[in-house]
Amino acid sequence: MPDLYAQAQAVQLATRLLSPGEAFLLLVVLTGGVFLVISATMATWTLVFRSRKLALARALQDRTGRWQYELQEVLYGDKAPESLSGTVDDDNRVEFLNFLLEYVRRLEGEEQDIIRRLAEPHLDKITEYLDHPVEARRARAVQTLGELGLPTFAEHVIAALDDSSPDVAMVAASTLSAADDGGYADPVLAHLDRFAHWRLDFLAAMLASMGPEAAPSLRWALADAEVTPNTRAVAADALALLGDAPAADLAHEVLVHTEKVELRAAALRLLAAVGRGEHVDAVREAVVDDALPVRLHAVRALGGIGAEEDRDLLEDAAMSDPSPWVAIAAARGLKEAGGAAALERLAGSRHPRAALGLQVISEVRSW
Amino acid sequence: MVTSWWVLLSVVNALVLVYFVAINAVYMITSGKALHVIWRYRQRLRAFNLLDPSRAQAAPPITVLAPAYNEALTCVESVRSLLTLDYPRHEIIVVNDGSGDETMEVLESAFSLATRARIVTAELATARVRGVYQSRLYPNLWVVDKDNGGKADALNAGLNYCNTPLVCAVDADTLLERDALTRIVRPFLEDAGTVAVGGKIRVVNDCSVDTGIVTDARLPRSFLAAVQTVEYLRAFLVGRVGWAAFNASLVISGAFGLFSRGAVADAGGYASKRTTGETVGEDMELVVRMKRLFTDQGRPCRIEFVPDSVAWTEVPESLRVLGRQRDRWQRGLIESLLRHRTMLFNPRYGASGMFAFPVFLFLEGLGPVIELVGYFGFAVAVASGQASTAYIIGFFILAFALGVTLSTVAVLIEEVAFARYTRTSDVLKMFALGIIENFGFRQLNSFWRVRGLYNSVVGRKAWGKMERKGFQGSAATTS
Repeated sequence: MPDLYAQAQAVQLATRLLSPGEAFLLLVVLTGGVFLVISATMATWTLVFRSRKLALARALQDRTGRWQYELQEVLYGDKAPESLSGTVDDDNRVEFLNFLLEYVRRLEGEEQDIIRRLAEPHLDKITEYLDHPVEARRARAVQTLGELGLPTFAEHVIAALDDSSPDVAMVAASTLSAADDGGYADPVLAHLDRFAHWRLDFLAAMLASMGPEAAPSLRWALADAEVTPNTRAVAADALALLGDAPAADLAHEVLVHTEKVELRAAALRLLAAVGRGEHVDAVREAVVDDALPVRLHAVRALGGIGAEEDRDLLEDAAMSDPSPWVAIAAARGLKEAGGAAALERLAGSRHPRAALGLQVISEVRSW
Repeated sequence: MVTSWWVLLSVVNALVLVYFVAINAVYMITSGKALHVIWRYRQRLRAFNLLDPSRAQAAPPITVLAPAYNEALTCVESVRSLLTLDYPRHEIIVVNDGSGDETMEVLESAFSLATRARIVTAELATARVRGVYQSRLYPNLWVVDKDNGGKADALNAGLNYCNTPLVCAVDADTLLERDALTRIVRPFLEDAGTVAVGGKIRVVNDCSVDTGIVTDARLPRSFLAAVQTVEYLRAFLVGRVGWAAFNASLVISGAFGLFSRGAVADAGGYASKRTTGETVGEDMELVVRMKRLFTDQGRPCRIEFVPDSVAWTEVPESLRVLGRQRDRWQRGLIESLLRHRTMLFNPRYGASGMFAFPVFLFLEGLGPVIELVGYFGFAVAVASGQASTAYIIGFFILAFALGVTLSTVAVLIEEVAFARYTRTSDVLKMFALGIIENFGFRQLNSFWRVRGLYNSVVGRKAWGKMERKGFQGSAATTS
């Protein structure tokens, strides 16, 4: 306090001694000085931070080198997992789990189980971070528990689907989906609307990574009219990625009874993957739909599941649909349906889309 | 007479002061925001593993568009670099923009090109396309050979043949890091309303490059290139990150950006003399146009910046070439902003119209004039006894201190978040360059930008030539 008082007095004195111009000049120079001091502090801090980071990295490298060596012995069966797990200090538990995360992603089967056993005694420590005020910390904790601690810590990870941060919720959904256990499909699907702004194909691939065990839940979501169209479309796409044949009838039902464009398009994508002859009528009708996404996926589906007589419909779409996207998909569908002759006819004609015929005949797809 | 002269001088000095306070306030705000955003971003990144290999189907297909004009000496290495990109589904379209050298022949023999039919998916007007080729060795490599029409025209030609939802525009001499696409695609996964994402440009001069991959990042030996390294850090880690955080991005570098193909086509493609009118700043103009059009149409228009998605580019090492480049950048800036001047202080465009647009127009566009006039005005004021030498020195100390602070923040962010320069000596040199550049380089840069402004007023459209050493200093090329 006396210091502050003295400073205030000094300022008062300076104000009395200096003219307004001089006071302004003093202020300018002092401000410049403050910024220079800030810059020097930041530069020093950066260098200290750098050297500390390098030292920590070296220490971490030493530790991980040791862990790596011992882990190999555990994986080869020369040592019990407890012998490695027991050597980890309290201070290094989080680092050890980070080390194990790298391995759990690369290994499979029995070796992956060993990694999880190694992690188990240390995961309690991580649960402390689930209520951390910094969302990135919570997300990292959820990720660690999701990748190393399922099913023991499933409750915690599922609870994180309701975290106030959408990022943390996505990490929970993502790790639950990667767990290769269809049992987690229900909670993830129930929270899917939280991710409504994400790309549908990303969400579908995430759900499909749960494997065929997730199919019953996905079918249920697709069939339920109470579920949002977005979630139903994602479920349909996930089922298509899984190649789930029993979902074909559901897709047909959805295509016939719904008017939502995105959902109808998703149903057609599912039919393209698993549809059968009895679904073709509905697909044919969709080929002349007003909505571009519906027509686009209808011609794709028709190429896969259509009959010989559908070639005319595809040829017509290839030549006259106003959208080049539909035309390309129809031409590809025509090729898939065995309509190479029609494509050759198109290629040899003077039709404005003759090049399309030539393109699709000689096409070598990149992926 | 003396009174009016004095009034004029006072007005000039006041204007300079206002400009000085405004621009530094803006820089400080964006710096603070950038620091915060990057710190959070790095933390967040550790918890996300979105595109792991099991989810390759989730990666939206991308077409990389690389316009090439007289790139015979570097195009093969650049294309090889693009072919090694670590991304599940991507196609490359190199557009040979009527090169006068052997670019096409070199590409044909290196990649065994064969003529292929390929229909267009958009109908942007371009110069005549002579042929479309596909590589027999790499089915995802295509080459569009066309008459010369300029960079924007070449990009539009590539867009016409693009059939993926996302398109990545790169310069033919740019090296993308292998994971650059995986990183830059994230905003498109997270928000379906994303229309464009910019990546970070780093300076490749004097870095070790092996088969298109930068293996050892180091500060260039050339003073000019080294100063530009610090400039690029400032522009990308402070400027672009800060503006994106305010949802007010108006620029995505033409050297590396990812766009929604549909959004670009709906906006009318890149500005060329055959589309919406030629400009030398086609990259910025497209972003500003998308922002304006989509806001007018009520469409979502998220423009993002991803600081860890990196492309490496060679920067000029001679004053002549650098001056031409800065002149062109300034013309591009002014042309883009004047074309869309209805956005200025227009609340309909949110932070872009109310904050970013005025800053870019008045502080970045016209700022260099005020800065140069300021140097002159202060000198006159001192000479005529209207201002004290001490006052001028005090003012310049403050300007210098603020300039140094900005560069220091940029180097700090780089070091804390990315630490690509492994030598401590390089970090020290960058801090030093942040000091040195205030004496000479900054003033020269202002002069080039004023020249660019003048050339923009008189309607000069030339691009100028870029002299290249090649990625490993192997060969001198021009384009």
